[in-house]
Amino acid sequence: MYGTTFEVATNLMVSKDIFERVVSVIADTLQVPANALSFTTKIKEDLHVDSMQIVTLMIALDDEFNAEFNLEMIPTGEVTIEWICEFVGTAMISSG
Amino acid sequence: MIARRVFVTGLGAVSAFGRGVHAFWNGCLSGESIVAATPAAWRQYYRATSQVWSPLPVFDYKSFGFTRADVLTNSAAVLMAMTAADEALEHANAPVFATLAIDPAGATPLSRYRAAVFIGTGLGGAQAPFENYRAHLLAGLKPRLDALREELPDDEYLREHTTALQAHPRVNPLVICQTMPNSISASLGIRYKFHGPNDTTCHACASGTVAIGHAYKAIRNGEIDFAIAGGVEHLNDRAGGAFMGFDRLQTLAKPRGDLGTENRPFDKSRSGFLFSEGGAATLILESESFANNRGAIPLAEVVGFGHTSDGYSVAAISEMDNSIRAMLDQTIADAAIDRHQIGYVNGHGTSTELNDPIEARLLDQYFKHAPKVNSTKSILGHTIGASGAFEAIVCTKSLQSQRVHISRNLDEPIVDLNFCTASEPYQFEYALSQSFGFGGHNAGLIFRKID
Repeated sequence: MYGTTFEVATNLMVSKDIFERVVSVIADTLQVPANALSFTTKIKEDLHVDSMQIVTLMIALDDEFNAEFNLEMIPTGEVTIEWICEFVGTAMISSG
Repeated sequence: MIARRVFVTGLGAVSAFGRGVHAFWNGCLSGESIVAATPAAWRQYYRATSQVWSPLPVFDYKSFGFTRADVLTNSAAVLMAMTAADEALEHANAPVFATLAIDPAGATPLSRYRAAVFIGTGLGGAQAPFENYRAHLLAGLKPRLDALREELPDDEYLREHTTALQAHPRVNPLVICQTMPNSISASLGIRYKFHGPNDTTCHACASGTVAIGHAYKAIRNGEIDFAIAGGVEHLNDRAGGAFMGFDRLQTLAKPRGDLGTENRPFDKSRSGFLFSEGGAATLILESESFANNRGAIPLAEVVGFGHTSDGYSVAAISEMDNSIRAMLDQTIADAAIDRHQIGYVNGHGTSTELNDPIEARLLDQYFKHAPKVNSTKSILGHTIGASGAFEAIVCTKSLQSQRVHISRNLDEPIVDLNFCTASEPYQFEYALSQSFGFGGHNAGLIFRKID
């Protein structure tokens, strides 16, 4: 159903469930088709989002996973969907 | 300068009666009131004198077409404002009105710079700071609260706080944007791509009336052609902070035994106002020529506006030192009519100890011809910054239908005015709505029936 299949992921911390939920949140929030999203999709470069949309996405992910996203946590380089999935997976493990 | 006529062509509402003007107006005519016991959670924080409020229904905004991002990033005040404005534009036969600017039919292209938004609000997005400051303060206590909860698993107070922290453990990054009173009018301007004036009026309980008055003047004077005008308020948070503030000020209705009898505008046994969770009321105003050119149907005409301030107190009204009479003089002069032509007065009528006798005596002295008088707050409770806009809708609907709604719970009037004792047919041409706000703001609007 997605542009890049889940099997591409090599990081065991990222479950299929997390990936699908992250993609669903991004598609819903940024109004982009889910099938255009993959692990390697770059949020800013590929989806052309502005800073306000980044904040909105953070709030939506926070709402979905109950995992805090602070701007300072985001690496200075490009953020990919894979990075978001890993972050969510780590946060969920931390919170038990 | 030639003054242009200003028509009301659309109405929208979100109220305790639900979504839509139909539900609101039918609620007014029914004379019923939405009254419930205050949330139990509020009582954990504060022992209030008042025990009732008028809650809004729980709306599923996604079913109204809003996205997940809309719901997560906008305050409830903004979501209600958008819902009411969507309805008003639809009612005015101008859905997503911005498209008219590029309407291929092109009969009446609207410059986006001559389309404006005027919204009144008392506390803006008050829910955001109340909720976030609570999260901010409690976050540091979380480990202690968690430990205590393990020791006291049956403690409801601890359970409620720790649950709240799990639900809202972090400060909302949009707390500032949601708190800004101007976020409501700005969000409407963004939604409809209106580039004309975008004005937030903040005059407490007179906010909605002043907003409509400013829109009326801007159209009348030729500055703009089209406006969304109205009032919006949302006063709910987990701890009941706004309720507590009004209660401590001794302004809220005290218990009386029978639920729904507490709120008694202009009655001798009144004790305070019914605290409303809020709502949104919007009107579409446009110039006569613009409305005619695009075939809009006028519902009523706005013909007068007046606005004065007491310069007396931030919360009280004085029998001797108020400027209400001057406001009425201004409003009636602006309408270029005689005061005896006013057939119906939608009073401020809060049910508070101070307001009602002063307002009633003044109406008695000022209007010797005994126009009909009622209080929409007797039914809806007090929606603060939205109240004047709800009352403007009532004036419009009353003129259109030639019906007035009952003034509820009025058993022993403090002054023998010609009160509406039933929702009934009534022939009249001019309606006056007056609003008074904390800070000493007095505002009046006069509406005329469309022939």
